[in-house]
Amino acid sequence: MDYVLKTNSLCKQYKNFKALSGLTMNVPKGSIYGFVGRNGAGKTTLIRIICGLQMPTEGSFEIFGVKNDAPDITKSRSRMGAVIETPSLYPEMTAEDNLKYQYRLLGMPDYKGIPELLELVGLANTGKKKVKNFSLGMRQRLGIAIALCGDQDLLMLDEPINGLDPQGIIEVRELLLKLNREKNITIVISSHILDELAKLATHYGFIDSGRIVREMSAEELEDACRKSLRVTVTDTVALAGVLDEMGAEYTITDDTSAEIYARPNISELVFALSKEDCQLVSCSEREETLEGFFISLVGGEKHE
Amino acid sequence: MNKLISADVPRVLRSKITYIILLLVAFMAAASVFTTAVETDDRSMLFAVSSNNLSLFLGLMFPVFAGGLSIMLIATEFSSGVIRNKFVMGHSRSSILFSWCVIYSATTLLTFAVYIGTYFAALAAFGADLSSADAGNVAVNLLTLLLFSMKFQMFSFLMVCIYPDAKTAVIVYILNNVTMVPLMLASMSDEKSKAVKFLSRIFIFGFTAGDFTLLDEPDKPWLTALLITALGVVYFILALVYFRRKDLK
Repeated sequence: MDYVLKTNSLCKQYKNFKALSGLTMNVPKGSIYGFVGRNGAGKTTLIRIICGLQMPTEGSFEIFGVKNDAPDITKSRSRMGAVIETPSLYPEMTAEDNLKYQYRLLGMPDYKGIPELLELVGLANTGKKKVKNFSLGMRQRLGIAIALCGDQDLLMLDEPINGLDPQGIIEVRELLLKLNREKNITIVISSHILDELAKLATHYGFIDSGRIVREMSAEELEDACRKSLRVTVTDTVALAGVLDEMGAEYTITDDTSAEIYARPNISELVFALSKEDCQLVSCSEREETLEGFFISLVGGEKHE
Repeated sequence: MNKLISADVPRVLRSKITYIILLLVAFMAAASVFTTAVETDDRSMLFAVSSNNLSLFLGLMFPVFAGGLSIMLIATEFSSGVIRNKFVMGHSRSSILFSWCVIYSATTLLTFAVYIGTYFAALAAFGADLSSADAGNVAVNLLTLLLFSMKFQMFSFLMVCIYPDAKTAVIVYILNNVTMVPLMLASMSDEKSKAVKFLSRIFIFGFTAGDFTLLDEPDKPWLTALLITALGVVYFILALVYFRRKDLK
């Protein structure tokens, strides 16, 4: 598998605080990598280090196969765009002028791509409106457009849906999916809005206290969070016998209930249980959320 | 670095602050001639008398205006977060600082030219007689004052690298300039110690021996130029070292 970004035991020590402690992650090419963690877990610090705003205390990273201490790292960074926390924009300029500024920074020969970029992020009709008068959603989308200047291959987005209204969230989500599917741009997106991330990500990295506690694909996560049928019965021994006969995978959770990881025919189940003199008291479908899975990984006791 | 310069020059030229500062220094230059002309009927003395005000302004206030302009424009990059885009695109810290050096040295030169241009235009408008002035002395004094402003420009880079917030940087910058006032007063007194003479050469403009006029023959201008340049280089190197190690948000 090709990786566009790899980190190896990355550490970042501030005066009295260790923000990253041996963080190792691998971002596959063409993926939407959901970077999940609490506030203060080290998500933004990692993105700042990758973007060159801060230096790691220990460890290393590679962008497009180029190590962070190699002279060519600047070339690799030029294939990358980022929105870190808030979009980096000049408020007194229009959307077009902000993009022109970015084009000049990149040394692009002309401004031909700007109308297409504005169209892509839905800001084609903003005209002479200054960025300071934009809504948060419009700024966020302009920030993404700026990050895309120069046909970048990797986008690093730090909490891109923070503070957006539901409509804004949908717009940003659709834009990111479009970029990933149509332009094959790899996207690293950090967020603590897990349900939203679940609608986008193809891969996940769960971060806690400055280290990755687990990396997995969306399929693996789906398996881990798979649906189950929670049943309450009068006799779990009888239930176990019936389920064994049916060949269903299950877990007995207490004296009266169990989780069944299959979709048994309820009528057949009730009929089989009644033969064993056992009653089905209740039955409900259950699905573990990304949030639940995350809490089970990092524990729920710490809150910052 | 060329990309950085070509991106930032249009921004500086479009900024309102740039034109406010230029108008302000032009007004100061015209006002210094006007107030002298009101007080002095003798037009042959107009240049000599007004040049006292001019050199005082250039020595004390001009660096604040020129350095303040660069601090405010650079601090906008930090406050808007746009400086992050420069890093993400792979521009190195050194090239960012060097690009600032080129751009804001040019704005200092422009501001200086506007001030001097307005001053001489105002002198001409009031019919000042410049025939008695030694053009060589005036030119050397003006060039040393320009060098003095450039040194302050380097100091402003150091300030903005340490305090990337515009208000804090400007306040600290002005406070640092205010600390020169006792030195200036000491250098104006009749009896000057060697230390005051030396320091006023670096921090005020010792080449006119404390009399603040463009007409006098400068005292060892090469030594003043050398010391000011050396200090400017030290400020720039400190700014570079600090900026390279600084963690940005």
